[in-house]
Amino acid sequence: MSSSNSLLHMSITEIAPMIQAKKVSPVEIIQSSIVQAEKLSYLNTFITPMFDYAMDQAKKREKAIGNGEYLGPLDGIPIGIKDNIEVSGVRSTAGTKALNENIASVDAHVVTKLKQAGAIILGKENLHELAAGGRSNNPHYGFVKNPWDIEKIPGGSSGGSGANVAACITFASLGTDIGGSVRFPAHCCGVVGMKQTFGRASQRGLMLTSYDGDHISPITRTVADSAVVLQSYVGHDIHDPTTVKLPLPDFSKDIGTDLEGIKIGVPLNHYFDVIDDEVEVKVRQSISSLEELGATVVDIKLPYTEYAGALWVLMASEMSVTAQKLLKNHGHGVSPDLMVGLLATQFILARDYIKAHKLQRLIKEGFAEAFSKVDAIATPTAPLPAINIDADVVSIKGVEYSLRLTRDEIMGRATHLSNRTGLPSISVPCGFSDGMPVGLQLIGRPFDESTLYKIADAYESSASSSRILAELAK
Amino acid sequence: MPISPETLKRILTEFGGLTMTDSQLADAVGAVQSWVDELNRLDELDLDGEYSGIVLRADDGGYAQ
Repeated sequence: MSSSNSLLHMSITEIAPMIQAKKVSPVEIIQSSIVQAEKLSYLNTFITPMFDYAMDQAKKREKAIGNGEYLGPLDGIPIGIKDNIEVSGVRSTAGTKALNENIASVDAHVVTKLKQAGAIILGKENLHELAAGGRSNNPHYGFVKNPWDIEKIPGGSSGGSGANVAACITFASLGTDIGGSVRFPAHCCGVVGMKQTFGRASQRGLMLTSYDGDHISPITRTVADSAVVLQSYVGHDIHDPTTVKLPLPDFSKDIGTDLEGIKIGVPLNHYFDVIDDEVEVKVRQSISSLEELGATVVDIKLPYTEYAGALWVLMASEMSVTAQKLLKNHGHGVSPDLMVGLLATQFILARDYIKAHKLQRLIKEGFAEAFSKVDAIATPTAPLPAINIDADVVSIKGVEYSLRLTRDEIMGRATHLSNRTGLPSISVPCGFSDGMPVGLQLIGRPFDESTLYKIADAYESSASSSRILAELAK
Repeated sequence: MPISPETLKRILTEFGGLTMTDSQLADAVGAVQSWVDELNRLDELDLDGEYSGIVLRADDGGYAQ
């Protein structure tokens, strides 16, 4: 028998065959996860722990597997669910006090699929209030802390999800990504965050912030695990018209293959315009590594991306509608920085909204043109590593950016375009800056997550900085 | 358009009577102004000459390729 912690340090693809072979039981794994979660409860990763439920499920799965009813690679695996994704019978707060007693009556579609795959939910995870920021400094349920340094943010908005995976409390967590809310925590916590193509996964049961920018997406410790988790819950949902009816590829099929013939574009504009020096060095080194692994790297230009900041109009306008009833009925329970964002939406004119749509269309066409020449685009995930929880201002190349009552746009400047274009994007750890992890972002063609997994896995397999655990996770 | 604390206070009142302290309102003015500045930047961006390659070009009297 393995020691508790060494079990938790494994990846899903490593531990699943042991569960299938009955060398490790789901009960043993869930027990270890609960001990780890209780030991690290000061990270504030959960809003609602579900430990009793998890243990009950683990016993059921142990018995079923004993009877030869193994369900696949997620069977018996402890996972976390961000608290804006509904789990039947459990409260879904979306991180706001106003929804403190909101009990979900049905499972989100993706939760149903994960349960059918045998995954065991350990709890509902803490987040930035209403998923509307990048710090996860939740004023109602506690600030989430970064396992690499508890004085730092874990990123957000899926901060509890990123921290749980990095702390080896869960093997995978489902976050949501509206402007980088899965990729930015992955970057800050040294784990893998994949935002799949818009339309791949059902939004049913997600407490929506944006109709066409929100994605339910996985955070894992390895690229191969990400492919396994994503595979388990995506696909057409007859009740969600945003999902696309396409044959589902095997996301893992190209993992482990070489990069010969792969062409990677590196943007000359926008993505590297505002970036910390050391982060830029790490990202560019990782791009050189991809070249050494056989990929061809070329410069590209992405027209109009320098105006990407203006696309906040689209997301904010949507939020002014999706959060309208909540504010009218329970507005006294939301924090001031959220109120500021909603105040700002009152100044948006219809012509601003339409023009932002035109800009978004032109930016999408620029990406489409780029993807006629390259298979993927490599960028930083974020311009700086995790910042201090109490930071009011950040400095990049001597320029100060205020964080007071902002929409945290500086942290999402490299990620949010993939939400507006719908393109799949993955963040994979690519080293450390000032002791904190940083990520390489790879952006792909629509519905071509497989190529991103192939490239990200090749990088992960070769990089010396891969799979290093935070000290407190050990 | 310059934003004032009074303007924000009136909007909050319409939002079901929400309130902010004076110091929060003072901070909010700067924050909302930065969002509005971004709107102005968008307004000044000249996209009139830009046509999508795959939508109707009304002034050409036909479809682009």
